Amino acid sequence: MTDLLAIGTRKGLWLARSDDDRRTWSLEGPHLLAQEVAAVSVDTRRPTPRVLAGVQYGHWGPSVTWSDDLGRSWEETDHGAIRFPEGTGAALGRVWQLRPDSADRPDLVWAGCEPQSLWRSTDGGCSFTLVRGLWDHPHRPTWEPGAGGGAVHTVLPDPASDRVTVAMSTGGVYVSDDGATGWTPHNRGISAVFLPEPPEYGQCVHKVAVDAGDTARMYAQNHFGVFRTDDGGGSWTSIADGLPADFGFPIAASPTVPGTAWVVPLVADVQRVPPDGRLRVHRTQDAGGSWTEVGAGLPDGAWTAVLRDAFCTDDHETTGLYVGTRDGCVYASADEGETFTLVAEHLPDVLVVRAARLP
Amino acid sequence: MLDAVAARHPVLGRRIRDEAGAVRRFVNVYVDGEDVRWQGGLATAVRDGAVVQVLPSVAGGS
Repeated sequence: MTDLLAIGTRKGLWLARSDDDRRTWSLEGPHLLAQEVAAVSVDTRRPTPRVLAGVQYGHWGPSVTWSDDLGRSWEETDHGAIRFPEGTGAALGRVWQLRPDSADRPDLVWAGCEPQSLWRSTDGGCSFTLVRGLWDHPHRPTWEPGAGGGAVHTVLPDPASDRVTVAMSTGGVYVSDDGATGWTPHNRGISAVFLPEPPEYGQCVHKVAVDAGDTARMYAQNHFGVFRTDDGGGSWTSIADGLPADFGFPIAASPTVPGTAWVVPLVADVQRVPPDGRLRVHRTQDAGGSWTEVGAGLPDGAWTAVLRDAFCTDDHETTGLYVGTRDGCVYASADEGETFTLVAEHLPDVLVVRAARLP
Repeated sequence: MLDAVAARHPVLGRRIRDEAGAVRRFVNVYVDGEDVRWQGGLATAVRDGAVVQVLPSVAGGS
């Protein structure tokens, strides 16, 4: 069994491997050198794993490319896997999220993109169709772009139903219960400090993660505030008490242990660095009732940040946790965040990490 | 002319222009040495024997 960690950066993709249960890692790359890789997934539902990447070819625009031989060769669809239909007047700005659906929907892949849009592929990511229900939503003209651009950055298909949850900055959380046709905002209780009153939608939700024990329980790292819902986004309550700061970008939940989730606090939106320069992970094991600082092996004097997708779990029984920083370091934990080892350093700024187990 | 290029070489075509038909922001198209943005845009006439150049601009990169 090999653990694979895909690392997308501002200037290329690296693949790290571990063959000793995540104790040591070897780094391979760069692949796609000089291309921005803001989204990556490793789709292990296929006979051979597919690395799917959302890239920005510098001057030459965005695209989706894939490798079925772990980076030795790359393919892309002639006319582009993601292209806005005629009549929309829109053009793809950046691919922010590539999300394979569940194992029993083997060719279904979702993409979240800029401008704010959701896309659905039924051929493993070679071509996508615009989800018109969200694109044509009457709220869309009022979804303002955040500082990084306006994008659907989180796509959470429910493996047991037709429910799909997305999050965007700005716009917030939207949910469809009919397979991505109709969409309603699900932001009640989530703050928006940049607006005079808490709105129905328009929040700047940075990332959402689903609890292992109940898909209706989700956690959100907001642009100030960390929240939990127990009813599929119907209402959210603050779980930020006990954190050194309630700002940050990523949030991850264990895929195997209910109630366990992690955040990486930053001081504030105007000070996007860890408190006191100490890069640490904070873990809850009671669904946000309390938080514990963990992360032995993560650095002090780290005046950097962790972006929303540069943080992920694996699916081991003892959850592994992976952290990529804007100063090009990647750390791995095989013990739910207690301790970390350095996987890579001196890379370009890390935009995304994704872990997978290869047969 | 760009339509013909895109029809024969679709990947090249979408490196130059996005799906809405606009020349990408940091790509410049010259006809006989003149930037088409300051001529007739994508409707700029291309005479027989014209030299058409597609160049990445000095901007961008990281």
